[in-house]
Order: sequence, then structure tokens, then C-alpha cells
Amino acid sequence: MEENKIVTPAAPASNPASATEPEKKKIRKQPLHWMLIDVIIALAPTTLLSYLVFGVYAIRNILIPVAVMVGAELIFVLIKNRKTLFSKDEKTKKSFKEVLNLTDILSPIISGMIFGLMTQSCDTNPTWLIYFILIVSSLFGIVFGKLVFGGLGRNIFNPAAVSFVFMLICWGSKFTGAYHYNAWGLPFLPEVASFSASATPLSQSAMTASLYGWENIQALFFGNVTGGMGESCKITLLLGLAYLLIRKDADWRVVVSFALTFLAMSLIGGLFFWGHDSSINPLNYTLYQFLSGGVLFGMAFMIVDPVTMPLTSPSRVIYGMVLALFVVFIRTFASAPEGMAYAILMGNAVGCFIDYYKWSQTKFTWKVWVAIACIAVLGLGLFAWAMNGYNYGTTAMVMLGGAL
Amino acid sequence: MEKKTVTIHPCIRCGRCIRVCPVALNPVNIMSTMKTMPVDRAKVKLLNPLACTDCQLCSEICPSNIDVATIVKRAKTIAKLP
Ligand code: SF4
Ligand code: SF4
Repeated sequence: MEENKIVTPAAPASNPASATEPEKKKIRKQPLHWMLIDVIIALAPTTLLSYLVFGVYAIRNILIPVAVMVGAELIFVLIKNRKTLFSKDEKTKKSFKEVLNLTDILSPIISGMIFGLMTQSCDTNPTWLIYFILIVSSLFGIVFGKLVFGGLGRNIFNPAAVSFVFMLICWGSKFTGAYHYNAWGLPFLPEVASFSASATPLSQSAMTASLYGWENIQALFFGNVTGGMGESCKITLLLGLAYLLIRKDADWRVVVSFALTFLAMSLIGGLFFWGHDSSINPLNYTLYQFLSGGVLFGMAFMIVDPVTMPLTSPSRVIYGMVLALFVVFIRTFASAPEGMAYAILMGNAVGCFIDYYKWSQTKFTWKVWVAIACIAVLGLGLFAWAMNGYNYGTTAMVMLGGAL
Repeated sequence: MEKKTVTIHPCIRCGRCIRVCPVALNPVNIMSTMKTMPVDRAKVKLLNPLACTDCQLCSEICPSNIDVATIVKRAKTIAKLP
């Protein structure tokens, strides 16, 4: 990696004539490793809370993916730099420490933490299977989600989402054991809300008005529900998101466009259900959809990952809208009870097309507004049309936690 | 002059260089086009690097320490060819 290290003068050579002073003041350079450390800081409250709530199970579910992913990345660095590491020429030979960057360790730690926080603190049947599941899924995610593309900055798909979807598809039905809420027996933790205390917290088959009651929404917000470990308490997630937004690591455009589109679509879905059964409050339905499952977790830590999103500001607004449409469609019409991880992968794939150089714009021109309006009208129209023929009777409607 | 070593990371596609550019270029697309071999000259021309004012803002903001402006400058030279 000798071509990656250059020697420059301490002050970057700049052309003072063409960059005016106010423009220069706007710039706040943030080194890459600080961006990554910021994400770890933002994840810290959620990790701490999941440790308090789920005890050693949280440590198990977070540490194993982190260790596996860091190990895989180190082997990747070794393979990538094999020419300089094992060079016969003493001049070009470098030690492993010299070719290793801080970012090579930080970025798999983040992926591992995110993947660990998405898993449930359930026992599996048989018990040892959970270790196998965690190791194989994180290995699959880091290798096929990131390293085959060439490492940091080149991946198309979010490695944590790849791991999670792989785990869900291969071993989704193996999580059948006891669910370890409040594993330490801490007295200040509330009871798990009764509406989700069933053995399989993934789906609740009855659509009743009482499900959308204010108590359930409070329970969802404060985190006394079963489900993914990091997704339970929304306060820490909002704290992390706020930190990322303040430090400008997360792009507010994609967050705002995702949240607004998701709320609007959920409200329309709620209105349809309200028309069918007038005891359902559409606003409560919207809040319930927004707070349940992994929507907030994905919004705070996964869709804001700069590597897997489009580049320009207008593309990012469109990306957020498309992601929200995917989530709502998967949740409402597909057999997967939760849609966030699938939607993130699909959105990552679509993101590349949004970025195609012939039509991506760097500023909000009228073309961008036309495209945004087209997507909004198309999404709303398709959703309304599909809701019109919705079968209210049989489908499992309401989901909680569990699968992101 | 005092020298210091800077580590260049891969581009993480954060889009900061695009947002900071006063003439709304897309330096990331220009960079990736310049990496192809042989360089697609029609594509480089379409991305309009000739508008670059050489202000260095993109190089200065890049978190990966990539010297974006120099690559855009190289693209300029290619776009000037007939
Ligand atoms: S040097 Fe050129 S490409 Fe970079 S910000 Fe300035 S005008 Fe834009
Ligand atoms: S600022 Fe640097 S890392 Fe960010 S998109 Fe531009 S070239 Fe890539």
C-alpha cells in the first residue's frame, strides 16, 4: 500500500484567489477515523442499554460478530498487502503494523455492533446453535457484503443488513427458546408489555383497535417489548441519531425524507384501516408503525451509512423516499412481518441507479422536483390502489420487534 | 518546510466534495471515470470538468484526504483534447 501514503506540505496548497474567505470558513474537515468513531459513540448508549436489559446475552450477541468481522477484515488486509508484506526486497518490505490503518479496525467493529444489536436475545434450539449462527452470518455479511467488493468505501450493500437477512432466511425459525428480557433482574425495568409476550414476538395476527392503544405505543417507545436488542428503547436511538446529525456524519436529507415519507404512507394506511374499522385511530396506527420494529434503528444507523447511499443531495432525498416506500409496501403486503432490512438492501441496489451520471443532478433543479413528485404520486397511487383491494381478514397484520 | 505524512483512504462516497463545490460539479463521478482505462472521453466531457474554478475546496474537505482537485484538473486536460 505504498502508493497510499504521500508526503505533503503541512498546509495544503490552495489558490487563495478563487476560494473566497466565507467559503473557506464553512469547511470543517473531519478525518475519516473520526467519522467512524462518531458512529461508535452514537451506538454506545444503545449498546449499554441492551447490556443492562439483556445481560450476558447482549455481550454474546455483540462480541461474537465484532470479533469475527474484525478477524475477517484483518485477513483481508493481509491478503491485499501480500506483495509488500512478503516482499523479498528489504526496501519495499513493510510490517503488518505499517499497512494496517485505524479505519480497517473501526469499520468492521461498527458493522458487527449493528448486526449484534439487530439480533434477538433468544435461546435457540439446540442451545449451541446460536454461536454457529452468529459466526456464519457475520462472516457471510462481511465477506459477501463488503470484502468481495474491495473493502471500505466500495461496497454496494450494507454488510450488517446482509448478515441479518442471511440469518433470517437461513435460521429464522430456530429462535424458539426463552426470551431474556431483564436478564439481570434489575428492579427499575418495567414489565414486558403483555401484547407482545407471546412465544413468537414476530407477528401478531389479530388486528384490533386495542393493539393501537396509547399504552402499547408508550411501551414501544420506552422499550419494554420483545424484539431485536437494539431496537427496543427508542430514546437511546434518538440520542444516537441526534449526535450523528449534530456532528454531520449522517446526512439530514435522507433522514428527513425517509421519516416524512414513512409517516405519510403510514397515515394513509391508517386512514384505510380506519375506514374499515372506525375504532382504529389512524394517528395511533402511524405512531405504532413508526415505533415498532427496526424502523428507527435502521433510520438512525443503517440508511445514513454514506458508502451505500447515493452521492448527491437530490439523489439522497429520492433514496430516502424510495426506502420508505419499500418498507411500507413490505410491511403491509408482503409475508415478511418486518421490512427494514430487506428494504435497506433493495434501496442499496436502487441507489446505484439513482446515481447514474446521465441523470443524477448535483443541485435541486426542476428535473429533480419533477422526479420527486413522480415518485410520490406513483407510490401513493400504487399504495392506495393496493389498499383498496386489501384482504382485511386473513393476513397477519401487525408486527412487533424481532425481525428488522 | 515542515512535512507531514497523510494517509489516503478510499473514497467513502460521503458526497461532501459535491456539496462544497461552488460550480456544482460531481468530482466523485469524474474521479471514477478517470480511473477507467482507457478514459471514456465523451463521459468526461459530459461531466464538464472545464467549469472547475480550481478552488481546492473539494480537496480540503475530503475526509479520506484524497486530492480531488488535482484529479479534476487532470480531467480538465483530457476534456480539452479535441
Ligand atoms: S476545485 Fe473544482 S471540483 Fe473542486 S470544489 Fe473547486 S470547483 Fe469544484
Ligand atoms: S469528499 Fe472525498 S470521500 Fe467524500 S465523496 Fe468526495 S472524494 Fe469521496
